[in-house]
Amino acid sequence: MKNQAAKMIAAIMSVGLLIGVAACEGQVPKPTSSTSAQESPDLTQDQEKAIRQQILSVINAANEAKSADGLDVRMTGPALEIRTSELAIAQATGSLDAKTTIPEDITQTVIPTDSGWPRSVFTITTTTEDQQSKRLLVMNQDSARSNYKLWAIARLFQGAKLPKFAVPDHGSQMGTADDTGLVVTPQQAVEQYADLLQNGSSSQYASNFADDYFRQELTTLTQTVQEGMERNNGTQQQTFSAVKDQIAVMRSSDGGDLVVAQINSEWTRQAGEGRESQPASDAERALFGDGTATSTMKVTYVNVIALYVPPADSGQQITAVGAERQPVKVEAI
Amino acid sequence: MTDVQEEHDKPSDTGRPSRHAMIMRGVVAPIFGLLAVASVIFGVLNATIWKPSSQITATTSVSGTQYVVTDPSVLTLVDTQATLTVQGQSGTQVCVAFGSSKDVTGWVAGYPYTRITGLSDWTTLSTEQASAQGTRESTDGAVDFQNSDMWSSVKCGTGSVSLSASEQDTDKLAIIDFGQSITTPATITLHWVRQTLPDFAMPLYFIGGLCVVLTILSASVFAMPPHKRRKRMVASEPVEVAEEVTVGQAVAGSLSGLRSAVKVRPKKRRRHARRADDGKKSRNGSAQNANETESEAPLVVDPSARNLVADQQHGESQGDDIHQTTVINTDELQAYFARLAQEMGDSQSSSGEDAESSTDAASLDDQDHQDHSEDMPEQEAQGDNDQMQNDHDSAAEEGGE
Repeated sequence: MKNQAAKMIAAIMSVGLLIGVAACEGQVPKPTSSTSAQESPDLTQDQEKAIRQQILSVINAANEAKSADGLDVRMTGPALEIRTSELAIAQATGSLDAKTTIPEDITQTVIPTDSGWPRSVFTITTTTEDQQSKRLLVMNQDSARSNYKLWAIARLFQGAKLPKFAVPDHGSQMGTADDTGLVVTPQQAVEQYADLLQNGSSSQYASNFADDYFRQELTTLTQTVQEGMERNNGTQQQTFSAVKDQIAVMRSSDGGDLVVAQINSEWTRQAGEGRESQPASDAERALFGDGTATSTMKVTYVNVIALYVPPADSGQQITAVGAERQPVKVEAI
Repeated sequence: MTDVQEEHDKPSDTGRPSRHAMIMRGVVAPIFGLLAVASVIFGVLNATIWKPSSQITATTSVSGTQYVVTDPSVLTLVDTQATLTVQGQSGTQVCVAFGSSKDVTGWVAGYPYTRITGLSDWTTLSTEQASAQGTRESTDGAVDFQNSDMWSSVKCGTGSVSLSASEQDTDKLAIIDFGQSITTPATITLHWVRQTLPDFAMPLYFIGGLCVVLTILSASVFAMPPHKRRKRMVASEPVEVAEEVTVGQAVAGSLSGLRSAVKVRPKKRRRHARRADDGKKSRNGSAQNANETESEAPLVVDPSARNLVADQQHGESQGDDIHQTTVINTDELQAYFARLAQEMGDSQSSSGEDAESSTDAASLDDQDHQDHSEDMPEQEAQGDNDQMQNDHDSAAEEGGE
């Protein structure tokens, strides 16, 4: 009896010991609150690539169909207006303009770290296969429940010097239209540039801006048209206006802002007495189609310009680094 | 323990280990040994059958909301290899996605949702009801959950869906969309595969090793007497020996000395008695009975026995020696008597008086023998050898009287 009791006690004790030593998975880990998430870029480079490829696939589908149907899924703003016009022209002429090409490879992407919406991603492509200049793509996400859409495409000028941005793994900070600490605010810069386009060298803001390829070309075109109109006693007038809220700003690492904005322009040409005002280019002609020409023709252009606005104390001028210009509507009045 | 130490131990230990060594070797060392064995066994068990599972699966059940969102770092709480499985109502679509904290927050803005806040234990996920700040976006033109650009990975299924996280999703949140606010509870399971397991075996091996060392130490060094551990120099040995003698053996020696003094006396008595017998035979020619009974009587005469022997040995030149021995004997005998007095009681004091009184007696031996011879007839009259002790006592009483 005594032996049995001792055995029982020993067994109970050993079982207790086993339970204590077994059942060991370690301490339950506790979640740690990390603050780094707020500082991380909104997208990884892979995500940016995936988004861009989805956008391009939508555009390519539209290009092949020569129809703008379904483009609004992945395009918006001035880019959608321009592409719609380009596709309409392509439908009329049978081929897309070479300038509509968007290379698939990129040289740089600028991803913001901002947590709110809208968000903008700036991506610079490589040059095209036929050695056209690089494209600056601006993809916007308006809200959490919408996807990124291609909002603007600007063809960068040959030799244009872009500011430096933080590497995409770290992420850049988005600016606003009212950013201070710059030569002028981004919104003002766009408005002044519109004035400069309209008034040329006589603009009061001419000294704020460095000379650029876009303005040179526009001036040359305007002079050519002007000369022709003058021969026919006609007149021509262009008005440029910055479109409200169609602006995207990204802060560069040197303190300046890269600003992409839409500037609409209306080109009104009035022919001399007894004459009809005709479209001034193949694109306008394609858009005008079979319309009946009158003495007056009003052509609406959508312009996308990319401006670098330097910091206030840099002593630099505002520089246009890229632009796009496309007639979207041709009407005879 | 070295051979030299053992050699040192043997003579001083007198062949038998001390109590300290017995406890150390018999109790403490086995306990440490058992602990060592137990530690190693538990270590092996922890490394094998009790090895912490690399598969951790935690489950919870949610209902009442359209969205379920994990807290930051919950998805990869145990390991980066995580799989989120949702078992919803069969026939309805359920989607799971991983996204950054700000994206998920933006998506659920204005909606109530269920938070998965962590592990309440190893098999249960803890949840909490929450409502996201912000205003609810109109669903017109909004993209479907699974088509959003924000998710790093997304998967939808009918009834149930499972999505695995990778190392890139360490700072991601998991968001579950049931399509509408669900009423039937859905089961959410997070499964991790642990790459690094907690190692409980190694500490136990370490403890086991320590116990082995302690076992050896307690059986050897700790079992040694403290002074041996401390002093191993040869020069200190004489001191040790002296100490041992004084402490241990002095008491035992004195006791045994006393004992032997008591025991030896009859022998001396007999030897003395034989000589006395010789004397008696020469005088009385009495029988052996007288010789045996004689041994009981001598207590009275006892203290002077040595002197008598010495006297007998140097009997021829008694005249010179007596004077010398007299001086020496006085001191020695006084001390001796003093000790005996404590041990033996009354009879000795009387014998001491006899001895003192007879110190100057040259024919002390003869007187003693005469005393003996005088006592003898009485004892012979009693005539019983077996009652020697009684006789002895009676003789002592008589002596005391």
